[in-house]
Order: sequence, then structure tokens, then C-alpha cells
Amino acid sequence: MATQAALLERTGFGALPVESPAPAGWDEAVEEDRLRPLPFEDVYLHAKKIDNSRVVRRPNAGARRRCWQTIVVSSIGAIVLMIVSLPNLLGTITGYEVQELERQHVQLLRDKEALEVEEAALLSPQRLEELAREMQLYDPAPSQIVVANPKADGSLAHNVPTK
Amino acid sequence: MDVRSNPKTTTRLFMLAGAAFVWAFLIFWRLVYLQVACHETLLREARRQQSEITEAPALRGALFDRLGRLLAKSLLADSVYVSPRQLPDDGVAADLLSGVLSLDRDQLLARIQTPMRCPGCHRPRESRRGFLWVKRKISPSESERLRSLNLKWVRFAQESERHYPNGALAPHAIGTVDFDGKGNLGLEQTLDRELAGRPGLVEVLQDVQERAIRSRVIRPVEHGTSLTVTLDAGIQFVAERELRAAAEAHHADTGSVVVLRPGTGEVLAMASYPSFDPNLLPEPGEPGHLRFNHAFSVPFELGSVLKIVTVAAALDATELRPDSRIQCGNGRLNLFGRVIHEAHQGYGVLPLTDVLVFSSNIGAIQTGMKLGDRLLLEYVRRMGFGKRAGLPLPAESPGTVRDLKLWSRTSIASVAMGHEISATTLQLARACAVIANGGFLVRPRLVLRRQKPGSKPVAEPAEPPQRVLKPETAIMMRQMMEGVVLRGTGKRARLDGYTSGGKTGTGQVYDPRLGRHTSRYNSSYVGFAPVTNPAVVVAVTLNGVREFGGVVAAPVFRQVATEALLLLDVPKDLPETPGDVEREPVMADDLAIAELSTPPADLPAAPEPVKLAAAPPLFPPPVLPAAPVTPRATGSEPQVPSFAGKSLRSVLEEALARGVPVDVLGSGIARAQMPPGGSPLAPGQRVRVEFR
Repeated sequence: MATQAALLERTGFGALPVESPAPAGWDEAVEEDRLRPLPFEDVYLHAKKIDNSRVVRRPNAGARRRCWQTIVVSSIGAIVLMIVSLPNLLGTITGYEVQELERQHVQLLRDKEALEVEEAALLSPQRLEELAREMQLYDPAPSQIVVANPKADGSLAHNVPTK
Repeated sequence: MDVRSNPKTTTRLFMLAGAAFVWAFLIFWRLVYLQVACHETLLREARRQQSEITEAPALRGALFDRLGRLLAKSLLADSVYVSPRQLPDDGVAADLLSGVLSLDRDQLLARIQTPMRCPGCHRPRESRRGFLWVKRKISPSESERLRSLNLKWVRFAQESERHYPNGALAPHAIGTVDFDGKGNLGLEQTLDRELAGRPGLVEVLQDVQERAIRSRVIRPVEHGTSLTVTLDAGIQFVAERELRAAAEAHHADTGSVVVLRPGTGEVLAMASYPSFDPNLLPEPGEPGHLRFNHAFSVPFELGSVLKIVTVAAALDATELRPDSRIQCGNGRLNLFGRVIHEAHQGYGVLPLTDVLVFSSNIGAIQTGMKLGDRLLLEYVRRMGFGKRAGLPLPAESPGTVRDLKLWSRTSIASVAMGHEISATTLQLARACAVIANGGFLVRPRLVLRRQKPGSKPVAEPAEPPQRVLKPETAIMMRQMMEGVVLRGTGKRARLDGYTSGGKTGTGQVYDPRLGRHTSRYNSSYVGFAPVTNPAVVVAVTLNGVREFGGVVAAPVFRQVATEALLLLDVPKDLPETPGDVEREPVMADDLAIAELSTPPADLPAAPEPVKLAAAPPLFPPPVLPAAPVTPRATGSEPQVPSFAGKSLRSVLEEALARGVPVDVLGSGIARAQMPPGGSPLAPGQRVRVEFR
């Protein structure tokens, strides 16, 4: 209500036109907080200035206590919530790491198998024969093969008995 | 004014609180509805969005040779697919993919834009496809390049790709797989289920960026069983190399080589000509017989090489012995009114040994007649002919051995010479193994061990052998077959440092269009080495050639058997012959005449006895150390005769007749002598002859 009155006052909507006559029974000295009425209306608006500058809120110890309680409880609740959800969060993060490690493991196994195939291809008899031909490595003639039969006295290997 | 005592204010406060309560209640109710009532539905929806069930491909089992060398292995390869409905721009997609994967851009664009077809009527629909393979089994470099582009609309699937790192090594035995990884030849086909394994299922929980958070195995993957086969990669390579060289040199249509261990039946090598590379897909228009296993699936008329069965049967079942006299009629025999001739040279009376050594057709017929048709057929079947050997390979031919009721009056003669019977090279090797191992018919084996993933290898059980010949028969046959190498038609098969025995064979090829046998031959040689304790049996066949078995097949045996014995570390049982040994002219004629009448008109004239030349070396001959100097002959000194291959009595008789003093060591057959035959004999010099 006061807001409406102040708004009306501010906007000047409640002000009477200069030339409009004062309504009957208007006594300015008696009703100083009563705004000038709307023309041709019987609606009377009052505006009373209230000075609350000297009003001081009385300290409420109960409210302060309740406020702190609320803060503490909320904090504890938040901490509990974090503690409860932390394993799930860490589990998700670890899940990413585990999956990445598994992917690397699988990739390493695949690389190992690919290398085995490559090694087998490099050691294939066809390739070895071609390389032997390029490097001029030939099978020895039968007369070039000497079978060394070891002798009991070690003379073949020039073994010298230790003293 | 006291708010607390103002009833209107209180009412308003309560109304406000009530509204707030209702609002909170509605929120709470919604929460309960979503979290409790719709829990399962929403959870299902969330899982559907977040989790993906993928198939974990099973790796096909690997194949190894007997020494653990890799013969075949599967690797995972990426295959690229897209959903044409979800492509942002067809042209851009075609440009990108064709550039990275080396595809034709226009063809790819056409495939992307091709609409779906109605399954029933095959008419094109309005809608586009939801799935399209772009390229399957791409290379690792292509995969890496495509993944680095991070294109959301490009998807990858993993598929198994088969690799044969040794190229065209034993492709007929190992086999091949089709593009979907299913075996379609050889061991890959026969043991496909065992090798394939079973794919698994994995559920992957992923975030909004499709990164995996967690995975769960729904069904574990079962990788295929790995197999160790009996093949030896080294021996196989040599067999294929020598077979190819001989086939190309003598213009053979096809050919095959089988190397067996006589005691266990393990197949050390199985080569077939022509051959192919299993890493390459079949080309359109390639010859149909390229992928035939001629050692296993294609039988042929054996010819003279079957005389080993005739003679062995005669020794086993009759009173005939190696020195029994066989009347060969000077090259002419009248059989039930039909006149039968030798191929070329006629013989009078030959010991049974020489019937085999010189491959006398009439001698073989006489031996077969002595045996009788029932016994002959029985021994032919006993030695493995006419039935499958039982290797785990597809399309094995049992060959053809006709029942007695289908024999004509002259069939006994044909069969004794190796006609009217067809067999594969493997069956021939198996029959020779009976002689080599002392009289047992062994079942050929190709699989040595099986190993499931995560388990220890399990040895393949071997079937117990079956005795089909007496031990003494086998021993006599070995000695007689050694004579073929030392004195007869198989001289080109003689090994350096090892004793060996064998038999040549030359069967005429029958042309159904002409309705008769032609002058093209199936030339073969089967033998074993060493004689005393055979370690390998080698059977060689070249089909469609114009030379005899002793000329074309025996040298292949020599090369393959030598290499096989060295690779198997078989100790030598003969001293090395120093330098080049002067060999006597080879009589390579062992043709078994198919038509039991006058020789066919288109037979070539009898070849001149050829002087045996050393086999052309694969590599240039090395520089040998200087041989010890011996005094040169002046021309008036007598020459040392060659005693190689002769019995002790023969050597003594000849030495006495020529006045050559000899020192005898051992007993049996003359293996080595010093000084060698043909060298000048100095006065007072004695010839030392070693017998075994």
C-alpha cells in the first residue's frame, strides 16, 4: 500500500491539478500526512514518513546459533556426499586408465605377433638361399667336410692337462 | 505492528509455505518416479547408450613345422565400414577414403550412393544403406593414417588375416583360407573347426566421447588350436626346389615328391608341381590343376616301380630267393597267345635280383605268374595300394586296384609290371617304407602335436604299424634295391657318403582321346637311405615327360635324399669318394610296356647308354684343396677294375682272372675300394676293397 502511494506521489499521479478546487472538508493543517485526494474521487491516500534510522535490531543469539548449525551440518553433509561419491569417481578415472592399459597390452601383443611373422619371413628358406647366393656362400664339397673325432688323450683339441 | 500477532500475515506465510511444500513435493515425487518407478527402463536406456557389445575375434591357430618354425599365423587387421545414411557429405567422404585407402573414387562414391534393395523383390528402395564395407583387412599404415583423421563417421572392425611367411612353401599340404578366414584347402580345410576357435563377446561401458570406461567379458574368446606338423621346412624347400627344376628342365606337366620317415610314417615333405603362393588370392583364369595336390590326390599308373611289390611278394610268399633263376626268354614271352616283348634289351636268364636291378618286364611277369594273381593282388593291397592312407587332407585319392573278378587273362602280367593299377606318390612312398622299416605298413602322419591356448602341447597318438612282410623279406629287398643304384637303372640316384636303395619306374601315359598309351611317361623313382637303417624314404614322380625314371626322377631323389639326411643329422655310412668318381655308363631303360603285344610304334629308339655326368651344381663349384699327387700312368700299366656293387665272390673271381691282388675287408657288397676303379695299378700294389 505504501509503495503504491509513494509511486503515485513520485509519478505525480496523485497530485491535483493547479486549477482544480480543493475538495470540501479539506483542512491542510489537520491532515498533514494525507495526500491530496484524487480529483472527483473519494479515495484518500496517506503518506507517512517513518524514520527508522534509530531502530537497531536486537541481537538474536538463537539465530546465530542456528545459522552456524546449518553451516556445519551442510558442510558435513557435503563432505559425506563427497566421501560417498569419491570411490565411484576414482573408479571411473581408474577405469579409463585400466582400459587404456588393456588397449596398450592388446596392441603390444599384436605387435609381437606381427614381429614373429616378420621374423619367420626373414628366415624363410627361400630368402636364406637368395642371400647365400648374393653373399657367395656355397655348400662345402664332400671332401671339404672333415669330421673331427675327439681322442681320449685330448691331442686333437691340444688339451694340456693341468698340474 | 507485530507481524506475529497479525493473523493475515500468518495466513499468508502459511500459504506461501504450503505452496513451497507442494512444489517441493512435486519435485520429490518426480524424483521418486524417475529413480524408482522408471529405474529399470531408464537404466536400460542408459546402458544402451553407454555400453556396446562387441565381438572379440578369435585368432586362428598357428601352424609350425617339426622344429617349431612358423608356417602359418593369423594377425588382426582393421576393416573399414561406414553408414551411408550418416555421412555428412558423400563426395567428401569418397575423396577422403579413396585417398587414404587407395581406392577408386568414383566406384566408392557409386557404392555409397547405391540405395538399398528390397530383400524380396530386389528393387531399389528410397532409403540408403545403413552399412557399407569400404575396405577389408587394410594395412597397418592405412589404419594408422585413417585413425589419425579422427572421423566420427568412419568405423573400424577387427578381422583375422592369415599370413604364410614362407611364401610358396608346402601350400598344398598346409592349405589356404578364403577371404572370410575359412579353410578351403589342405590342413586349413580339414581341421578348420579346430583351427578357427570361437569369438568371444565383450560389453564395453563408454562415455559420451566413446572412450571405454569399463569392460566386462560376457563370453570368453577361444582362440584356435595351434598345430605342429611333421613337415620339415628345410627338406620341404629342397624337395620343391629340385622338383621344380626337374619339371621345368624336362617339360613335365605335373610332378610330386614325398619324403617319409619309414619307421613312424611322418611326412617330412610333400611337394607338388605346379605350385602357388597361398598369400595370394586365386587369379581368374589360372589353371585348375595349380592347386591340386599331385602327391596325394592325383593317381597315376606306376609302371616298373611297382616291381618292388611283385618281387617282395614273391620272396615273402614263394620259395623264390634273390639268386633264383628267372627265365626272361631273351626278350620275348608268349602269354596266352599274346607275344610280349621287353622294352628294348632282351635278357636270357636272370637272377631275381637282376630282374629288379635291370627292370626286366618279362622277368617281372614270370615272377608274378609264379606268385599267382590272388597272392599278387593280396600283396598289392597289403602294401597300401587301393585304399586311402588317411592323412588329414581333403580329396585323397585311394588309387585304383581292381578286384580279381575284373582282371583279364593278361592282367597278371600288367599288374606285375605296374600297369592296370594307379596310385599316388604318397602310396608309393608308403609301400617303399614297408621295405625300409623291416616289413611294417605304417600310417602316414602329418600332425605331430596339438596345443590349445593356455595349455601344454599334446602329442598326436600314432597308429600302431601292421606287419605285412617278413623281416627277412624286407632285408633281402633292401639289398636287392641297393643293386638298382649300384648296377642298374638307378645309378643317377647314388648318394655321396650314404648307401641307398631304390627302384626306377617309367609308365606310359594313357591318352583317352587316342584310346591307347602314348610315348609320354610317368617317370618315377622311389628309394630309401641308408640301406642298413633307413632314415628316409623319398618318392619322386614326374608326369608327362619323355625320359625314363632313371634319367629324370633319380637325380631329384639324389638331391632331396642327400639334403634330408644332412638335415636329420644321419651319420654317413660310406667314406667320401675323393674328387670326381668315374661312373660307368648308365642303362636308364626301365620302361614298362603297357600294351602286351608288339611295342608301340611311336616309342623312341633305344637311347644310347649315357655316360653319367655330375648333376649341375646349384652354385659355382668351390675351389677344392689340392689332391695328393699320384704317379701318372705311362700307358703300359694295368688298370684297377671297378668292384663297386659286386659281391665278394664276384670280386674275388674277377681279381683272380685279372691278376689283381686284393685285400678284403668285411663281407657283403663292395662299397669302396682304394685305389679307385680305372686308375693305374703299380707293380706290387694291392687293391683294398671294403665290403658291407
